[in-house]
Amino acid sequence: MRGLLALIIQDFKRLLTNALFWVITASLVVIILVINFALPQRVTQEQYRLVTNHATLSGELATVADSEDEIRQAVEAGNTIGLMRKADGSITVFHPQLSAKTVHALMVTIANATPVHVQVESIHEGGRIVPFNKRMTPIFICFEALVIGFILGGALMLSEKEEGTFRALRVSPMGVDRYILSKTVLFSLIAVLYALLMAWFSVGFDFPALGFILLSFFGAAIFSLLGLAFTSLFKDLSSWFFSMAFVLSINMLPVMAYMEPSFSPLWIRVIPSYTIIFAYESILFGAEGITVAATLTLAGWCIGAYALSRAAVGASLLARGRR
Amino acid sequence: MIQVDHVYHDYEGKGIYAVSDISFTVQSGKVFGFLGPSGAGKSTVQNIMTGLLPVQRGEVRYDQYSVKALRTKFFNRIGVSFEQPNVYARLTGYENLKYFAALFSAPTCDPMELLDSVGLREAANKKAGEYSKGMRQRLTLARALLNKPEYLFLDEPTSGLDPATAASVRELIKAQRDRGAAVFLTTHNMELADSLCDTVAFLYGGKIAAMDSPDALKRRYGKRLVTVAYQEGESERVAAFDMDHREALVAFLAQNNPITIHSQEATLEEIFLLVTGKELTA
Repeated sequence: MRGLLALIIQDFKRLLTNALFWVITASLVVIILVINFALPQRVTQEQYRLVTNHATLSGELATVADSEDEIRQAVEAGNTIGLMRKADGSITVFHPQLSAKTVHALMVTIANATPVHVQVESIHEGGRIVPFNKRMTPIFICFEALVIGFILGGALMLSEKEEGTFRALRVSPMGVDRYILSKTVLFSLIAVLYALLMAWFSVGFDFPALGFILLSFFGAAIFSLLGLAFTSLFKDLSSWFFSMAFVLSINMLPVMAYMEPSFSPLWIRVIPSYTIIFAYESILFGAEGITVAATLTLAGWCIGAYALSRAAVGASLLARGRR
Repeated sequence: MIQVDHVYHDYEGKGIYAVSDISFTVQSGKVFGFLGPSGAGKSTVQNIMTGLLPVQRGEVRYDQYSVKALRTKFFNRIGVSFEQPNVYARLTGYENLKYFAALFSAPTCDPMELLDSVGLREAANKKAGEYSKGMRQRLTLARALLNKPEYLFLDEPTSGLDPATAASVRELIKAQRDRGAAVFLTTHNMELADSLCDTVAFLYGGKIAAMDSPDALKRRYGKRLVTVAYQEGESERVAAFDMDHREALVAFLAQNNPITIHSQEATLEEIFLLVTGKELTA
């Protein structure tokens, strides 16, 4: 334990001299500023006017057109939905590539048009309406604070390869477990600190801190372990950097599911950041905290990532002559 | 004791051996010198012995333990100094030693005392990246001594060092030998080998061409002659005498005014040339 702590301290000293570390730290401040001052609190995603040849279809909300051509031209011009009632009573909807969901809702509305009072109620999980800018916080935490180990762990490992110190470690009693644990614990602790700072300065202090810290620690551990396994395939920074950026961009795909929850195919759900983003959303904005399913998924990822990292780093760190 | 038995190594698996049929023993409290030019296979043998390369054929044993079955904790007992200094450039010399000291479960030396012993105390708090090559070389040597190793591997430990520093490194190696370490010294510096080694092996073309103590090699390959430089009138002359005919030498010394007397034993460099037909260069 004493040895592990000493390694963590020395790795932290090396980190302080790494320019990439300071770039990531500076971007932490920028992200907090962006969440609080640059992103809007509300975003209207679809704002369309209606054009129709039959005023009764949408009442006072619609602009009346004289012909089908006029409706088509208005739709092509943008931000317009056209409703054309034909002589036989059927209705054609012209729309500028709206989502199937929106078109379906529109059709239902038209089909059920009756002179009754309609009440609108917005339903939201946990009863809180989360401003758009705050809702971005889980994304930024996941892809800034948590991936720090993936990026900087790889950078430290490659500098060891380039300096030749990796070779010196191979003839020392370091052992693969101590090597990956010292780096993983260091980056997980830094990630917890960065994640807390982002959460406190973006959404305040009203969330369960223990769950948040555990999620951040083990989430960062998953990325650190995967990063070490991935980096062990490379010999230098230049060949690693773009591959690393590619892998991280794939890891960001679950943002689509976060922004549009109805889009959650299996291939997105198996990316580790998927579970982590929604777990953060649940902790920061939900009422119930992390679900059992999410906890089990993260535990599985931790074990799998450790096994993968141990195998990959072990093949590089330990000579074939050693057990 | 380190026992190397009939070791071969083929990097590409095409039957072209970088080293072949290498056998020797390094005793505790002794310095074994592995001498040869660049590319002879010295580092290959050291890498096999330290587990950096797998043993493809043959055997390397530390006492009764095969290198093929060494566990991580065994590396508490060895120290390795590489020819190319490999240190953490962004840590200070002191921090470098602290980092590696943390890896050992065995007792370690005080990093500052070690830095002092290799002449780096003044530069202890300077980043290793700012060290000269010679300073990094000494830092690498200090790192190899951190755990008071039972088995010490030194690859060209005086390469790039000035004569004064090289002399202090030589004393440091002697101290390791005297405390009982088995020292495996890889070098092409014959003077260093001559002054330090109990046994030397000449490696050439991946094979051991000759192996014995430096004195035995000199006796075996040297000439049994004594040369005497003497004054004759205004000029200085030299006469040679066979050691088997001592009476002639004694009579000559009684009748002349000798200036210097030298035995004509061969240097290790000359023996290497004699044995391999090649000069020993870096």
